[in-house]
This record gives sequence, structure tokens and C-alpha cells, in this order.
Amino acid sequence: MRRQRFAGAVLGAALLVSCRSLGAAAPAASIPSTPSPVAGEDGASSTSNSTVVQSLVPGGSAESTPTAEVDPRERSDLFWDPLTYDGDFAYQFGSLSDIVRASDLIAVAKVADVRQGPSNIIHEDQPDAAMTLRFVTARFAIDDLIKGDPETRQPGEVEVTMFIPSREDVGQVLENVPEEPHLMFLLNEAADRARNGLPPTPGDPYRYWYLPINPLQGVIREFDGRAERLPDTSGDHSGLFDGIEGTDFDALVAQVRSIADRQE
Amino acid sequence: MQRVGRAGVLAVAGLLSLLAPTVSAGNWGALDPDYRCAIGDPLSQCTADDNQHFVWIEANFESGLETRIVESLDQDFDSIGGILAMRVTTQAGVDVKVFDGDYSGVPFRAWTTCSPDAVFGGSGDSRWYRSQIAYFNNGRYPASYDEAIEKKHYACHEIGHTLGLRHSDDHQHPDADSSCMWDGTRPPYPVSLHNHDVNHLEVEY
Repeated sequence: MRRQRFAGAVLGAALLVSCRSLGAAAPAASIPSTPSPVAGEDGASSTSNSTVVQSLVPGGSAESTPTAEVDPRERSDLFWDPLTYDGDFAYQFGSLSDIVRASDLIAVAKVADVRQGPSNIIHEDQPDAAMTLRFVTARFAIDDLIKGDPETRQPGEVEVTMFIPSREDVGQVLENVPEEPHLMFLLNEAADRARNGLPPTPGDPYRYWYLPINPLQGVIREFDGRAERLPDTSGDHSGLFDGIEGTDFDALVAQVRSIADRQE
Repeated sequence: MQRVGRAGVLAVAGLLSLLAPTVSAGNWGALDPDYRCAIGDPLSQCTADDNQHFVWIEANFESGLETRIVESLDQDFDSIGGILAMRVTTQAGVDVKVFDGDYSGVPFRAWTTCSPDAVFGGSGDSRWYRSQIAYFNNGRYPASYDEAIEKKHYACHEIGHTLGLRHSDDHQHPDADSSCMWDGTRPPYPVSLHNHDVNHLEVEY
């Protein structure tokens, strides 16, 4: 289980305070150039009603601002830790074969940049239940495409949009762009919505939206030629990483490619 | 006689302590003892403030899932220890508010967090929030809610979270996959609590 972290302002709050008051210090972010719904809590755009939440704006203006001289592994941990959390995931896998089969796109890629956004206010009509769901979007430069044909605005890249549970962690992600290659198991949001029987979304806002197949299993890092899981994946009890962690990264990539080729 | 009686009490207490799950069981209570509920943070998880667990369900909630939530309150939680678990029809002062929707991009089938108007107290594994919100992502993952058994599983699971239960596979109990608190995603879907969960609730409430 991932441990939560909290900003000093929150830690300094009195013992009994309302969450609404804690939310008052939200960092601001402006809206980028893309489809367009309604201004939300962060200044980002969103649209919602009480049951269907489909309109999102991909992007925010707060972009990555790498910090100076930080150890690459530490930087990677700082980036990924807020994006690595346990939960009741829609998809979880116990074998490489299963995760390869379920992925829309598998690639070895490096983060080119990351920005805050989109965000989406849900149940806005409920005064004591409205909540902002936040995401960060990273552009990954693809080094090696293993499975799938990416829907992308920019050839050779894929946009990975990841839910980030805590607003307090957004800055940490933006400030610590990792340098190492990642083996990515990705879902395309539009394709997965279609698989779930959902009708096409007006404006097709999910066309370029990829996300890790789940926050614990969707990304494997390379350090010193070895495969390394994301920080604090202790919530994963599937056994997927047995036999993967610490193995030769290139050999793992070759194994994944072989599985993908066999499944075609 | 008095000494024997005290020894007997101690023996019984010792036995109970063996039966009762402990903090070290790893699947109970606040994820962080110092946690301060952050609006929008869907990973907050705590106990309830007392043993009266009143649940409000939004008006246009999916009816089949609604039925299973009410059923779970009655069958799985009401009367465990001193718990009074029931659905109520007004939001004011409730312990849990329940919503469903299409929360696209969120990788959860369902999750529990604190309400924007939540108050909190307690400490350690007894840290509590009121109100909490349970979100069911059945609009995004409808295939996960096709069957009644799946609906009952997620109903029991999320209500369990609002009372402080964590995932059963976070401890090493061999029957972890027989609890509705198991977060495995493949059938069979356990639809009720394991005795281990019940023990947690009885000790707390």
C-alpha cells in the first residue's frame, strides 16, 4: 500500500477541519489548447453530471521543470511514486501472457515531458460530494514498438495520461521527469471504452489517451540493464513480477515481443 | 477463588486476543495514522466514527447495484458487533454517500474517499472520517457489473472500506480470496465477509 503524503499546509491544519477548507489552497493551472468544456476547480476544464462523466480536456499548462542533480533512480521514484497506488483495479494480471494480450500498445519508451491535466469535476451538482479527478499527461518517445499501432498526434510518441490521486503530489511529478527507458503496457481509453460496450464519445476526446494497464503493473523500468518494477508495488499480489524483477531488461523485452508475436 | 477467577479471565482474554485480528494483520484501519483527508484524494481510507453506519444513495443510482448495496448493509454488516448499518434517505449527517457514474480514465472499478465536507478524528488504526463517499465506476466498466454476484461483491467491498476494512490480500490469511474484501479481479467474486473481517469489525465497533 502506498503511504500518503501531505503538504505542510494540510499537516498544519487543526484537528477538526473540513476537507472543503483544506481544498482552498489548490494550485492553479491554466487551460491548454484542446477541446473545451467548463472551467473547474483548478481552472482546468471539465464537464460532468450526476451519473455520466465523459468530457475531459487533455492538457494543462503546468509543465515539467526538472530539478537539478538528482540521482536517476531517486528522480524516477519521485516521479512514479504518486502514480503508483493500490486499488480495486479494473484490470489485473498474473502472467506476462495475460498482460500482453490485454494491452493495446506495448513499447519501450522514455518520458519526453509531462504536464498537469486534464482534470474533471464529478458530481458538481452535489455540494458536498463534488470532487476533482486529476490527471497528469506524459509524452513518451517510443524507442521500440512491440505491440500495437499508437493513436498519436506526433509520430514516434504516445501520450500517457495517468490518474493522480493527490493534488499535493502533482508538483513532485512535474519536477522529476525520469530519464530511464520504460517497458509500457498501455490501454487506449477510447478502445477500452468500446470494448466495454460504451458508445463513441462526442469529439473523440479519448482517441490519443493511453494509460498504464493498471498503476502497479503497467510500467517496468530499466536501470543498469535490469528490469525494475515501480516503487512500492507491494499491493500487487498477483505474482506477475516473480521472475521479472532484476532480470535482463533486453531479454524481458525480447520475451514480451515473442509473446506478442505468438498472440497475433 | 478470586485468584482462579482472575486467571480464568486472563486466559479468556488471552484466547480472545489470539482470535482477534491485530493491527499487524495489515488489512485494517487508516492507511496512514496521520492522514489528513485531502479533497479529491480517492485513496483515503479510515474507520467510521461510531457504530451507527447510515448510508445515503444518490437518486438516479443504478437500481440493480442499489439493491445489492441495501442487501449488503443488511446481510453483511448490520448487527456485527454493535453495528447498526442501514440506508437512509437524507444526506445530512450520513456516514456514507454513494454515487455511480462514468469516471473515465480512473483505473478503479470502485473506490472510497472522504466527502468534501468531512470531519475526522481518532488516531492510528481508529482514525475516522464522516462522511465518506463510495464511487462505483459502473458507467465506465459496465462489463464488470453485469451480474448480480459482481454487484454484490463491489457493494460489500466498498461498504467494508467505509468501516475500515482494507483488502484481504494485504494480509497472509490463506482464505483471503474468500472475502468480499479481496481485490482480485477474476471470478469467483466473494460476496460476503470472511470471519477475519468480522473479527475486525467486532473488535472496533
